[in-house]
Amino acid sequence: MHQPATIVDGHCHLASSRCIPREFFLGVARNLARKIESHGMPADEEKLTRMLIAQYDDHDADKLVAKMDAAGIAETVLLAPDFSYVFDAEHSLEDLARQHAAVVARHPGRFRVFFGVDPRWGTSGYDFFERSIDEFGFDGLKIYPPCGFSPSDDRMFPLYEICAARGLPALLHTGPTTPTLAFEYADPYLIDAAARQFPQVDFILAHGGVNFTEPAKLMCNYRPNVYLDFSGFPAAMCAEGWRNHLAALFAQDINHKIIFGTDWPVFSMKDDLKAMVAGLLAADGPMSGLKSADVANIMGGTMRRLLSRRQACATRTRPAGAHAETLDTERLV
Amino acid sequence: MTTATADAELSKLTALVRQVNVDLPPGCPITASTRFVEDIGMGSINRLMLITLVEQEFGVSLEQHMHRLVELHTVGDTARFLATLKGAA
Repeated sequence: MHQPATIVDGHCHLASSRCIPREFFLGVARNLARKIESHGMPADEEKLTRMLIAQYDDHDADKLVAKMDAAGIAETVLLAPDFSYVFDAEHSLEDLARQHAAVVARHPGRFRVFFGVDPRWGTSGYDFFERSIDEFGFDGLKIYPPCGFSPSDDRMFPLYEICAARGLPALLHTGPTTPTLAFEYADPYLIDAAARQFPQVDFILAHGGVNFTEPAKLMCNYRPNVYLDFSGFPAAMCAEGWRNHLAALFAQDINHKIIFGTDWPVFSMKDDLKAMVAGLLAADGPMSGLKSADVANIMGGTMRRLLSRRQACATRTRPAGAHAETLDTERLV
Repeated sequence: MTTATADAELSKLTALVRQVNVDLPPGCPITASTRFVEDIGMGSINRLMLITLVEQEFGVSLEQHMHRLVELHTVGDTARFLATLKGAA
């Protein structure tokens, strides 16, 4: 196996409790509790929630950078979804942006940020996303449909217009998430209308190589501007194990559309970044039969190309007030 | 912390590790150098169960130490950390 020259983690999060509301952790804890109880042990959901939150103390990413160094990861895309529309959040969207900007400044050259804004915030949200690009220098859009909207909802379009004008990618969560959110919007096919309407925007189906794999890979194969990542792979629900699952994915002739991601710190109690990368690149790992160029693209080249399409465009493309009147009433729901 | 104390903590922890990993073959050795993930394939659920059992068995609260615990990759490192906690109590 050839070690790729540059490894880019295309899907990662700050392990900071300031970025994720408590209700998100509570849902995760409920599922963990059911599993623990199935082993004949009592489980306290509230305590499990606190235990999960306590692990998210890497607010400035110093620990993450050390783990990236150990794993040989040169650069990481931090995803900052907006949960503030659906969950009570102690920290504001502004706080979220400032924290991520501070991390980028603290560790020069190590991080990019895809920032999320719930489309139901309306005009103020669109403006904030635009500001996050222009003022904070973020590099893409993070969409979290399980918060309760389709990624092809008309209310998303002003955000895509901003991405199209600046050459920014948009990454959307697909597949299951915390049970306190709605899974009905997690289907990869829901991006189809937006992908058709915005051919200039590159859409990345997050976890598409792990969950809903069939529709995700079909979308990648037949929509030129749709990609997938395989973040979360250590937890792939596959009887043959994640290595065989990924080996099958890499045999579909869509390796130019596949992006490596870890989803750190979601599986921090299972696998470290170093172990994840080593497992992928092992002599008997899922990439063992691939051409060096494919490995290089999957492990960083493709994400770097998507990031390089960013254009220095400071002009506002969205027609002023185009969506504002209807959204301003709906955002009060 | 004495060597005897550390050995006792290690012995207790080893038994708990085996308790939460019921799928391990009976002869599979668990020693101080055993790594939770790489050597015995422990996942999140097993590690949380282990922490729960450790709290009961060692009489310590580990909630506030979660960030430290997830960075401990071997049975021996964890036993030493627990011994430190008990010594500080």
